[in-house]
Amino acid sequence: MAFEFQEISPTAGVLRTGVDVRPENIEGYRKKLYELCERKNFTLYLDMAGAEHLSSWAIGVTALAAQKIRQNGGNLKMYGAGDNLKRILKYSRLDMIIEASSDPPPAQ
Amino acid sequence: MAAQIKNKTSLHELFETFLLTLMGRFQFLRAAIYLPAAEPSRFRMFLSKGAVPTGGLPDLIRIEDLPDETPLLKLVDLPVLDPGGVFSRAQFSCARVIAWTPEPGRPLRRQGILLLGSPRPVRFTAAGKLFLELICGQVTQVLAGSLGGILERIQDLERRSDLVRDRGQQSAPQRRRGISREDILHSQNLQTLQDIAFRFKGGVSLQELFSTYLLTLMGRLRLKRAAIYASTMPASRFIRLLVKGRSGRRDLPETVTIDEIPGNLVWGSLRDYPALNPGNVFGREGLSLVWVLSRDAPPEDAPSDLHPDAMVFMGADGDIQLTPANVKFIEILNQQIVGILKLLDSVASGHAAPGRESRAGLLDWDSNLSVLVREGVDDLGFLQEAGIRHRIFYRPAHKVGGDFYDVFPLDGGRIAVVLADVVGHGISAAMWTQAIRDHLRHMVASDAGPAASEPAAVLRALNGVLAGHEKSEIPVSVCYGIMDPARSTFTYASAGIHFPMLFRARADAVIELPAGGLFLGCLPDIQFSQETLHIERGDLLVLYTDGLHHLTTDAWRTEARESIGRNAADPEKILDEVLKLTALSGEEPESPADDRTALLFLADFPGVPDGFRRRLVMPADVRHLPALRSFIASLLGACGNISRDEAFAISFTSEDVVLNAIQHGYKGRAQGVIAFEARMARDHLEFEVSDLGRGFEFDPGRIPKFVDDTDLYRPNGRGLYMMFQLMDEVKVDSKPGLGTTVRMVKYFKGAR
Repeated sequence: MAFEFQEISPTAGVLRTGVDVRPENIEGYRKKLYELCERKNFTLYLDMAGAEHLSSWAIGVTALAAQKIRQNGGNLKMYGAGDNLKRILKYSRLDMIIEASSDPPPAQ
Repeated sequence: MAAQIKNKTSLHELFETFLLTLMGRFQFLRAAIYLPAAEPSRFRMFLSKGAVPTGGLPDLIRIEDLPDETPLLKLVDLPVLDPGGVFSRAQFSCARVIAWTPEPGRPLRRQGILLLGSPRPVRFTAAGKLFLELICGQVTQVLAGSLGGILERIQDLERRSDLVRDRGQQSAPQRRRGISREDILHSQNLQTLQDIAFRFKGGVSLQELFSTYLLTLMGRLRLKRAAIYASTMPASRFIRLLVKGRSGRRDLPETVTIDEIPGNLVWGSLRDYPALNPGNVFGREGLSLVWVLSRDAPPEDAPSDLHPDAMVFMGADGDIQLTPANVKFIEILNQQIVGILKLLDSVASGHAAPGRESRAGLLDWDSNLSVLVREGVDDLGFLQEAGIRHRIFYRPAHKVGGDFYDVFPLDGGRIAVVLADVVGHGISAAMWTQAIRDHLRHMVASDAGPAASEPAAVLRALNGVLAGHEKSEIPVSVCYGIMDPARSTFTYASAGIHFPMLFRARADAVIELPAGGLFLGCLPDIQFSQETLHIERGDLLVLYTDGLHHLTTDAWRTEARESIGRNAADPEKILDEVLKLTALSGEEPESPADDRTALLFLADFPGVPDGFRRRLVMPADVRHLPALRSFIASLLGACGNISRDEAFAISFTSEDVVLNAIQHGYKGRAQGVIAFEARMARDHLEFEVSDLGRGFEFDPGRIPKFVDDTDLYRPNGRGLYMMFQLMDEVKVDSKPGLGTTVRMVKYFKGAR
């Protein structure tokens, strides 16, 4: 299921994309992401396993979400990023503001 | 003989079969055989076949009335043999004295006489004479008592012949031993006859042999028609032996006089020799050839009374390409056809036959044909030019086999690939394979035939031809495919062939391609399915016949995959290693039960030809983005030498530019269209995305740099930024109210 959220503690949770984030499904991604970024002092792990593509639109949404969550005292980290996704992060310079790893997100 | 009679075949039945065979072969209306009567100076009629009027044939013929020789006699010269004229128009009727020499130096011992009658002209070609000789030889054998007796006699004569050769021709000691030149000649010809009879026992007729020659020639030179004319005994005529190809048979002359052929002619356009092609049946003038076959090419100043041995007529719809390889092919054909014709002539005329070694070579039809079949495949240099590396593994179980393959260029840089397996081996299967190959090439080349780009239609049409053929009971499995390097595709249809395999280099996977389908010829109308595969650089396509069972095993496939992964940068090494695996690491089974063939093609496309274009026009709606993605994937597939980074750059940017047109160009508008056009060259891809939306004043200086926090968290502007990062050239042409065109170029690093 796309954009599934799992809370792993009162201050941390995982949002699993499960699919490419493209214009066709960006609304669901944006809504869920922005909602979670409103939490105070919350660390959000974006689990990108299963996603190989982020459109430039989705990159912009993610950048803005990172800014929001940090303004609320929290953080946004990316896990499960494959080669293609890392390529996108690099060329969009999103890797300058979001830490990305190919590892799975922390369990707790 | 007693054993034969015990097996319920009487002499009567045997001779009746001989007569019927002769009547069928030459279309004689009547035939009779006379055997020695109780009176030693008479022959009594033993058997007659055909509508012979009662009482019209003499019951007894006096031996003294017969000439003391054995050639074919015209009944018109011997009225005593046909007193009632029952064999009708005498000029076409003939007699043959059946005789043999019981001992060297003694006169012929007459065993019988054969009478043959025909109201129509009878053509005794060299092959026909041989056939008659065979029948007479068999009758003689039966009459002489046993086959063993004849062989013993031949061996005796051969032994004596060797003695003569050892001690010099016609020396006094030999004469004293009673060995004459005629003895030697007779022994050699008898042996030749035995050799040829042995070939016939193998089920191959001269007709089939020469058919195979013509079919091989037609396939190789893409001829529409071909014919062989052979010189006759009184060497002033050529008599037509055989015609192959579609139509035109009726208008070909039966005979051609040698005087019509210039003495120094080796080959020439039939346009220059209208007498040789009176009905213009060999097609358009200037494109058809006559090729004079002779043992040696005559010099320029050869006399006009040159008597060549045979001619091959070739008719084509297009130009006949006389490349060095094709000329070499014809020269091999020349040697084989002329050799056999000379052999037959020597037997029929009683002249000296070639020596035993030379004779054995000429009669080794399997070996000779295997050379031609091998030479019949085009020089495959064009594959390398098209960016396809290849290896062929071909091991027939016999010298010539039922497996065959063909690879030839089509228009537009495409390449036709054929792999087929005819049930059976040897020359008969080879003839059938050549016939199928010729049909298929003709269909693909013919304007009237199914489009060459539709393998399923070609197989269906081929099946229609084969199902109506007399050999249709022989199952044939075929895979016919077209490789298109410009589009990076392989389109194929299969009729019962083993599953082809595609090794995907990038995915490190092997795919067993859909195949199957019914064998050709088993039903009059069969529909075949067709598949198109996308081929990428490094992919290996393997087509093979069922003699190579081990190619179906996981072990073989794993080893092949490992080789591909290990030698990604060296396609030649991959092919060498996979070929070695295919050949069971070089271990040849001592007696392979089946033909074994594998075709290996490794895609190494140099790129796409300059100017190749593709265009997509789509509605400005995100719901149509999947169609764009498929289009781009197909586009990238055609760029054979593209890297992963380059493919990513193109696919990401293409979609993003289109998305910008949808989001911003047509913002607030219900309908709009976007045109996406790609132009490919060997070293780069250029594409343009155009919309008729709002347009804007483009200022490259306003593109965010994304270097500080102000930019890095921006939700917009990344599309343009990434476009300039990922593409080598970008040009944005936009005006408010006039729409936008974005032109981008991506160079391929491997090509730069």
